[in-house]
Amino acid sequence: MSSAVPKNSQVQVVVGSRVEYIDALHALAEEMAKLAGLGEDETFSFALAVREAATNAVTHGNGQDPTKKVTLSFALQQDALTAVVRDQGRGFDFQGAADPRLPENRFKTSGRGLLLMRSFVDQVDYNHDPARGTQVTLVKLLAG
Amino acid sequence: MKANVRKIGKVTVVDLSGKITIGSGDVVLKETVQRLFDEGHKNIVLNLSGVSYMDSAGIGELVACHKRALEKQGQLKLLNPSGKVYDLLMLTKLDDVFETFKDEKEALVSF
Repeated sequence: MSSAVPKNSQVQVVVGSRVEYIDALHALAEEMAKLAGLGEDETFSFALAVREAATNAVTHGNGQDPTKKVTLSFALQQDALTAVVRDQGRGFDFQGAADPRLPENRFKTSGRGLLLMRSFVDQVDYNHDPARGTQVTLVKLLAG
Repeated sequence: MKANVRKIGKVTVVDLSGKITIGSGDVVLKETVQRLFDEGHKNIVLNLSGVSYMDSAGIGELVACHKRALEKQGQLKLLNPSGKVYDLLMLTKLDDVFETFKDEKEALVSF
């Protein structure tokens, strides 16, 4: 099936900020990874990274305000599968995020999403515009 | 996610199946473990063999359960996490926090 999908495709979905939609966004990320030709483990990793970005957007960015939108876009290119997650929130200090692996942070019940994102894709970029919200870009490089 | 509770001697085993993720699985886990500690169960094993994966919210809830156990002077241990779940525990360095077993009998006699 993957050979039938041209490597210049784009898909975009927009949802209200509800936790209930996160499974659907995760499932879409899995399907996009399969279409990109990723194997089972890489599909799992990519989809979990997208899930974490979507969760941040819904919960931290938009504060689960269903009137605020989360936009998830995928771009499938020859050498990369890219996911972009945008919210309409107040932003998040990615650079200043504490390392949850440090002993002093290990018993915290949150703060691991960014670690998962960074671990499971090849590149994570973050931009925040106070007027427009936060945008997280996840890039998974494709072999061949 | 589903949680099935078994009492074996002084140990309570919770067989979890499905995924421990935000909005559903993490809530089931929280409510199940909270109820068991409130009922006086002290020694709890979470059987993760049926858990396909967790997200950061699920991982956070596992940590919350561990803290709840400490508050109640109890113990919470893990049994047979799948490869993906164990990889997540390793990645987040929580393999150092949770005592983890592959064999249920070994888990039961460890208390």
